[in-house]
Amino acid sequence: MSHLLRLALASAWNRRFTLTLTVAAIAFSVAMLLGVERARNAAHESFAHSISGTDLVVGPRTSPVQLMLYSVFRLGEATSSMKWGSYLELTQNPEIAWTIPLSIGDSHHGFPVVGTNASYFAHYRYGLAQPLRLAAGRRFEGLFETVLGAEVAERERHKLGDTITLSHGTGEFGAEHADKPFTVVGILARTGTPVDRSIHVSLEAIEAIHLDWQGGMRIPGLAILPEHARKFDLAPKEVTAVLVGLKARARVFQVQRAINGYAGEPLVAVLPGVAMTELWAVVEVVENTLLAVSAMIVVIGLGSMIVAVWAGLNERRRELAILRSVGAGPVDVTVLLALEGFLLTCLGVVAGYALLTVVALAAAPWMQSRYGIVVPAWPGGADEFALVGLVFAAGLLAALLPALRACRLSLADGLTPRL
Amino acid sequence: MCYYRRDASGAGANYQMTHGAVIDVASLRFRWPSASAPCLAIESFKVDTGERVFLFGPSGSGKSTLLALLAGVLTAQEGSVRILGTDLTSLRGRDRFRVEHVGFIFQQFNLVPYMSVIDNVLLPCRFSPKRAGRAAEAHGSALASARHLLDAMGLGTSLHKRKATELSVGQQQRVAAARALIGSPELIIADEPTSSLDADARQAFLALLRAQCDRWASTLLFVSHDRQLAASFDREVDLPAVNRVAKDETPA
Repeated sequence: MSHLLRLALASAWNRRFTLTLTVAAIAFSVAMLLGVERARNAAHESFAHSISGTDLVVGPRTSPVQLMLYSVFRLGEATSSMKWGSYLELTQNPEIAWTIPLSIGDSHHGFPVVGTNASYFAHYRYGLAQPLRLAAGRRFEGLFETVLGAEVAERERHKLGDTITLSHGTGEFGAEHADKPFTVVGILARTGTPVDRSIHVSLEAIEAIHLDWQGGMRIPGLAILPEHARKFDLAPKEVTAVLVGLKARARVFQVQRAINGYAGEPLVAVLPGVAMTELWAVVEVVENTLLAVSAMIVVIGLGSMIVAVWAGLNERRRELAILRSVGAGPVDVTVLLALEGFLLTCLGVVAGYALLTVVALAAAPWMQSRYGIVVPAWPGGADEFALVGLVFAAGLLAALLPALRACRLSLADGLTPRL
Repeated sequence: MCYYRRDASGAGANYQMTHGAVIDVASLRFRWPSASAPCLAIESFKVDTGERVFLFGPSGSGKSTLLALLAGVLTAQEGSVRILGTDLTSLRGRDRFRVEHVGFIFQQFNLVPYMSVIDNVLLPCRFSPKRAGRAAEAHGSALASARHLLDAMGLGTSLHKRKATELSVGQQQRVAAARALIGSPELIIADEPTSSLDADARQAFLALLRAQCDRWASTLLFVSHDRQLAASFDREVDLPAVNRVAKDETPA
């Protein structure tokens, strides 16, 4: 066996330029496959870590996925809202420890604006129960003050003291609330969650900028200056969602039932974990498609190996006849060729790992800032090794194809190849 | 007429003199699986120990098939092919048997192109511990034996580490001869080894080959279509005459 390995190595070295291309093809495909797998896991993790510590998400009756999408992921729009009175009543529930009211619907350059209050900074948790932290400045206190998520500040190059204007609605081209600019007073530290993309203002501010609006339009002829806005009753009239923390998590179903049966208006209380699982099931289709595509690329990579080894066979028939004459049996010939394929697969996988590590390390800062996720540079868990095992198995199978052909050829050729 | 035969007890280098033929083909019929008629039909063909036999085999005479049968790469449907008394037809491990007892030299392209000259010579020793053992017995180590044979073939030390393909055709054939001879197999089969050489190189090669076969007491079966070479051999066998297929097939 060892002499066959030496032969296979020497032979492969002799054709190293062709085979390097094959190894590169396998390496790229393996890097792609593992990269997708790791990105998938990272995305899943970052997704699952978007919110933590919240026991219930409460909102107007809608689908749990919809409620999660706009309240936690700040995607899409709230189709209705719940009355402020209902919210106040909710806060009276003795089982409830804290609440974070959210009023969502406006935007700034495509970033969602979240109207909330001080409890957002006090109780919001993400990842492994990490609290929000200010990277600069302070929480909003005045009416036209705002605290930006890390990504908003970075992408829009906003710093403390800058003024920004909000747009009505969540589209890029919504009408501007240009008459009431906000001053940036704080910038949150990066969390890797949708908070990074959010612009936080007080609930009162949301009321204030809509004083002279009705039905999504500025009321013609009515213009209320910012300094006059303070004189109006700015108590919030409605919110779009409430994040709820309980005193005892064990009572969650009881509280959920109570909210779902609230007599004042139709509300829904959602367990974030359950809704996330539902939401992820939607994303999973895309993710499985990606994985399937990268698996296909691996198949193509291994296919190129078959082609390379197979194409080399004809010119090696002489060589195989010589080996036969010095005692190599059909099994030796098969093993020799299979070894070559296996070596190529091994090299490809190792190179793929190396490539992925380099790319992951190099792209980490960019990935973090752009997508809020980091593809780990180091080998992941059991799933990844199972995947690599599959690649090896496929590589061995692929290597057997030209090997068996070599065996057939050498049996037919004997000592005198008919070239 | 005698040859060296490995003692049945298998004890190392213990050879005993036995009388008999190195090659003994009897009542042989061989037909390619895809063909309807046999391509070889040989009643009897023998080569005795120590003989230098010239086998005249023009193309189409079944020469390649016969060599493959002698090598145990093919097996006959009928009859027997005995090498050193062992019937290859029923032998398991024919590949091992081949490397242990037979050295081959081909017409051309004899060497594995990506290996050095010395590694090419050592190839049989890689596949057969017995060949390696006998080579070591003769010169201390298989490597020393390979060097010795290359020197004897007129290939100086400076060439040993060269890639096989960097040598001239004549030099390559001499490397092939050294490879066939290393570990002194009982039988050397040379298949037109000189056809790609010019007249002078041909004679020089033949002389070297004969000398080394004498030196190692190897039996030589030399196959060629060039009858002019027959003169330097003990005996000439005419394959078209021995192979009865042609006669059988002539329409009645």
